Amino acid sequence: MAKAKSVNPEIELISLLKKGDERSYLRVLNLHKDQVAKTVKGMLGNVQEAEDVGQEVFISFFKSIQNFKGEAKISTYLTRIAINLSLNELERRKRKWRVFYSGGKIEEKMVLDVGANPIEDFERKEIVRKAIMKLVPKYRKIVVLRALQEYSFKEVAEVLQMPLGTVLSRYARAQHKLRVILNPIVNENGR
Amino acid sequence: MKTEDKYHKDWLLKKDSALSEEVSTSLDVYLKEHPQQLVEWKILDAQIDVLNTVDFTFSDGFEFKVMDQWNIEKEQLFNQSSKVILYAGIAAAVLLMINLCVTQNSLSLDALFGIVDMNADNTSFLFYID
Repeated sequence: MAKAKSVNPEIELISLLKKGDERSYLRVLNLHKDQVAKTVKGMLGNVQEAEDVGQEVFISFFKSIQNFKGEAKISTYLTRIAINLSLNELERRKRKWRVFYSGGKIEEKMVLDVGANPIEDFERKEIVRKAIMKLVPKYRKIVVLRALQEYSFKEVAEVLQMPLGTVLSRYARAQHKLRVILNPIVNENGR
Repeated sequence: MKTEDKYHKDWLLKKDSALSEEVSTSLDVYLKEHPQQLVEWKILDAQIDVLNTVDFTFSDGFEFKVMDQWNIEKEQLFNQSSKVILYAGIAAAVLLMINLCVTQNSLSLDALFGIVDMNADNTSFLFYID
């Protein structure tokens, strides 16, 4: 009996995208929008710019689809674009902030501020959201990929194109920094 | 001698089942001797898990906004490509005209149409009509 030839659904999808099939674009959006949302909102916070960057991620992907050779998974490729565009956005914000604050270490200061603020002042989820924002981008991107996207460390290294050892070191450091920010929430839940 | 940081990294990798048996055994021995360390690492992990309680999603209709934006971008890309083709066509026509004029050794309208006789005295268009 002849075996049915199995076609990798992702390769098929890429082929349809290259042909300009409108439904395939929608399929990619529906399949990956939550994953991209986690990345950009994890990196930028729950702000309008995150939605704009999210749109930009997909548009960039669609524009470059003809050059996409399928060496990486669509999800990996999208996450990579999402991280890069989020970092660009953070850089843009930083430049904007520099107009108002000349050379101050804003992120470090914010970490200390949150530690000093009482929990009652914030909604728990807001604190968690803000906690991620307190991390400098080089730690934040690793936490976002590991904690929100649930990537393995090897996958994180692959997406960010950095050595596994660096990923692990930065993740461990980020954990310690987050402890300062999130300890009150975890304790509250544990009670 | 491994540092505490190194063991921590090993422990993180072990969670991904990405640690060799030998290193894993060495980690187990270390944790048996330092049980408090494991508690510490688990606390750090629990804090990271809290991050997962936050809902990160795009607003309703996000996919349609992207598709609208994509259609606008596609149109712009198409217009740009059309312009490139149009300008290339105009440039080619102009070059062809100049080439004709040069080969006919004249910048007259007759030369432009390629109907001038270089050996004849009559370089007028009317000469050919007659």
